[in-house]
Order: sequence, then structure tokens, then C-alpha cells
Amino acid sequence: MTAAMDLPANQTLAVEAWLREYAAHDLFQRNDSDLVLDNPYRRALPPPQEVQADDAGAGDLPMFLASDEALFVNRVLLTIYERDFVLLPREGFPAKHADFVAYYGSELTQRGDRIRPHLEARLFGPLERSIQVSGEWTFARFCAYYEDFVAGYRADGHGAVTTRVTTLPEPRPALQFYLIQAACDFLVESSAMARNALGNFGPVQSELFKVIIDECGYGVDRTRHSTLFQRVLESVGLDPTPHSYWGYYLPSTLYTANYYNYIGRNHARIFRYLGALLHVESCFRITCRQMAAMMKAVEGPGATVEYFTEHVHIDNHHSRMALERIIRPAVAQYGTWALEEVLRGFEESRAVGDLHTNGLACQLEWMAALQDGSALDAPGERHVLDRRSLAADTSSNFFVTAGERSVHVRRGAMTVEAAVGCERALPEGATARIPAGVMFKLSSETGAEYEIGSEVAHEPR
Amino acid sequence: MSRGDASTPLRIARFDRREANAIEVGEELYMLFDGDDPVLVPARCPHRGGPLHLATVENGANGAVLVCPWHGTSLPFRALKRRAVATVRSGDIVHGVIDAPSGEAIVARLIPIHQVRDDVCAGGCMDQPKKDPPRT
Repeated sequence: MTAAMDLPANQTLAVEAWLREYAAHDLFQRNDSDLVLDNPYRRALPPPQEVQADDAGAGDLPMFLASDEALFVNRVLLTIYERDFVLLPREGFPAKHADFVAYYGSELTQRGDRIRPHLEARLFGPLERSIQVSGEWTFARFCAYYEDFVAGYRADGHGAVTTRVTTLPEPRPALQFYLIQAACDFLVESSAMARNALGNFGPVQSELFKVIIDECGYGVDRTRHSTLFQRVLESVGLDPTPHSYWGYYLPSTLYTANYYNYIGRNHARIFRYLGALLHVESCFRITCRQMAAMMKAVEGPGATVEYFTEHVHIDNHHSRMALERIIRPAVAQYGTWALEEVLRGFEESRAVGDLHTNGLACQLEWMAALQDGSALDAPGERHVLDRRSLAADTSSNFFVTAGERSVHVRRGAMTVEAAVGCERALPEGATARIPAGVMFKLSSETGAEYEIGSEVAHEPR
Repeated sequence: MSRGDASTPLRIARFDRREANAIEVGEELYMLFDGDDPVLVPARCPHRGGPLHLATVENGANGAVLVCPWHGTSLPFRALKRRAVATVRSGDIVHGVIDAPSGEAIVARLIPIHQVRDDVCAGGCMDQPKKDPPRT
């Protein structure tokens, strides 16, 4: 499934074998559920032989992210990256001790280190190639570009996704979906950033550390940003431990988390990281205001919004600190090359943010179609691609379809699920239309036989 | 590329390189030399102001050379890059930071391209956009 990695054939085969070996580890086996509460070590990876490589998306990042391969590769890479973080369960550690030992053990370390560069090249090579910096950049020109970006971001609002959450027929599952995607990063908030806390790089390091201290709540656990977000999750009935909803993350969500680890892990990318930091801090103060409004629209005026209001405030400071106290002195000290890297990081973060937003928007529309029933509208001609079956009381992995597909129930009854709390019953004879690029899974209590089809001719409602 | 003094405002030009290959700022024209290493450079020849977007691209001893159609002045591409506008391209969207008075409109343009010799600029020194240009 690594055909698109731009490697010689023999090396591609080797990487595929290493990936199979990694994914075959006991920690990464799915136990027929995509919910794993309070065990950050168990992270289901679909069997690689079930993952189809999509050469068509090799150079097109949005197309690639709408694929099973992207889901698999991103899950593997985040699993590797987060072995650098200390993750401990809240309760029941003795029963999870063996998982803890295995997750941080030398076997997975060696296997992960072997495949990580290949996965990074696959995921971030196209991103790097899509951005090019030229001409004579100065700090003043960068500031002009940055201010133009912020003005445009404010004017555009970028609130379409949070607004859409509130307008779905059933907004609560949409809100839960949105928060689950955010939890991928927010529950380990500042961990990728803290990769650059160590070493010795003078005043820039000290200023960066001030941002990290804010993220960590100044050593007071109840004010730590990840603690604030745990309260948000609990307030809407979700589990607050890291990666309980691992199986529900979109490829674009995982890609976003992987990106910040990618630029933070290799310190040759420190200046690129600073540009990405500026972008994130500048945007987050705006989107957090929208997230707070989304929470109140769905949960009422008493919604738990402290996480968001805290960022509306503190990220005003962080964006200013990033530009004036971190990037300005860094450029003055380290020169034009550093500035071009800052700019590149800013642009990469912007592109990754757009991919993330697009992933959320597509999945929300798919959820809306399931909720209002339009996904089950009578389709036209179907071209049958595959016939499959589900045993009673089982469910499939989550799939991501590269193209529009249909699921037709030939025998028995099934359920199609798009997110936690967003599913639709498919009785015998029913057909569901699955848009391209969205995540879905199938389950059956009775056992079922079904067909996967394509090219559904569908009349608009 | 700076035309103004330190007080000249810095303006942002934005265009889609599938739709435009130049920007016009007042009487100045900047053209996008596209390809593996795209740059946005003034289209005015430094000799007598000839239209460099109509220049012929030839092989020089140290890389590609633009030959101005007015007086045959040879301009190494490497030298042109030193006059390039501060530009960042993400996908097909190009942003350039231009020194320009605030009253001057910045307009994306689709202009005639210079004569490209395939053996010099494999892949195209200036891609030919496919649609009418948008206004920034």
C-alpha cells in the first residue's frame, strides 16, 4: 500500500513489510469497537492488506487525505510520534501495565524509527513541494504579508464549520464530532510545541517557553489548557481521556496533529515551527470565539466554554509574542534563511489548517445526509464493485472512500455510522449513498450481506 | 524591485497562477516566470525599459538568459532573480509583497508570453494560464 512513496521497488517492498510488522503488534489490533476508554496505548490500525494504495492521489494532498491509505499512514505515524509523550491512564494502571511497557518498549521503538522517515516523506513531501518562497524577503515585508492574512482571516470569519454544526438536524452529535476531532490535539496540547523547549538558543528560547508555560497553566492543573478541554468534553457527555475516540479521527485530523509533531521533532525545522506557531496562535483566537458561540448555541448559555474564552484572550498575547518577541529577534539574529523558513512554516500551517477545515466540513455534510435521510434517497444505476458480508453482532473498520460509493443491503439488516451518535439503520433492500472522502463504518446485529457499488446516478432532491 | 522610499506602503498582490501570469501596479508590470523555480520579476528591461515578457529565452554559459526584444540585451535569469518580488506560492495561489503607493490598483493580468524554447525551459518558463485573469 506504499506504492506512492516514490521509492525504488525493492525499498517499497521493504517498507510495506515493516508497516505490516508494525501494524500487526497486539496493541494495534481492533477489538470490534472503535471506542477504547482510558488506554492511550491501544490504537487500532487497520490490517495493511485491507488498505488500498491510491496512486491517483500521490501528488494531490486533498485527494490523498480522502483515502484509506491516508487514514492508515496517519494513524501509524501519530502512534510513533506520541511515544515521545508521557501518557498514563487515569485509572486501572495495573491492568494496563503490560500495554504501557509494550508501547514504550524497544521493539516498537526500533520498528517505528525504521518506518517514520518513509511515512513523513509520504505525508509531508507533497506539502513541502506545494510551497515555494522566492524574492527578497525582509521582516517588514513578512509583517505586511502577515497583517494582510490576519485581516483577511477576520473578514472571512472562517466560521462556516462551527455554524454548520449548529444547523444540522441533530446538532448534539455534530458538536460531539467536532470536539472529538479537536481532542486529538487539545488533550495533549502544547506537547508538540514543547519538543522545542530544550537546548540553548537564548532569548528566543526563553520567550517560547513563556508560551508553553501559559499552555500548561503555570503548573496549576485546573488551569492547564488540556484540563480545561477535558471539562468541555465531559460537559457534552464525552470521555475526557486522550484518544478514547482514536478510531473516529478523520485522516485530516490525524494529519494536522502529525504535521506539528513533524516540524517540532526535527530541530532543523525550528524556524519553520515558529512560523507555524504564529499562524496557529493568530487564527485560534478568532476560531475559539466561534467555538464558544457554537457551544452556547447547542448546549445553551450555561455551556462550558472556559477553554475557548481563555484562548480568545491569551492567544492575542501569544500571536503578538510570537511575532515581536520570538520571530523578530530570531530573524535579526539568524538572518534571511530563518525568515524564509518562518514564512514556509506559516504557509504550511495555513495549508494544513485548510485541509483540516475541509475534512470537517465534508464529514458534517455526510452526517447531515444521514440525519435527514437524504443519504438513503433512491439511487439510480449501481455498478457493483464488491460483495461482502458481516457476521451477526460485528462491525467493520472505518473506511474512507476515494470516490462516491453506495452500500446496498442484499440480506439482513445493517447500520451505517458516520460518527459517535450519528448512524442510520439500513433494512434489507436499502441503499445508502456514501460521498467521496468521508469516513463510515458498517455494523449488523442480525448478520448481513451487502454490495459496495459506484457511479450512483442520483437525482437531487 | 523596490520602487519607493522607506515610506512607500507594502501592498499584497494575490493571484491564481492558473488564471494570471502577471500583475500590474500603476505603470509597472511584474511577470511570473513559472516552472520549477517560479519568481515574480519586473517586466521592464533595466537597459531601456523593453518588454521582458516578450524576451526570447536562450541557453547561456551559466543558465537561462533572457534576450530583450528591443536591443538584444542579455539578462541572466540568475540576475533577474535578485530583482524578484518577495513572493510565496502555495499550490497555485501566489502572494507577492509589492512596494507601491496605496492609491495604485494592483491588477492580475494575463499577458502574452515570451518565446520559450523547449530545450531551455522544459516544463515552461512561463505557464500559459487558461482563463481570464481575476482582479485582485
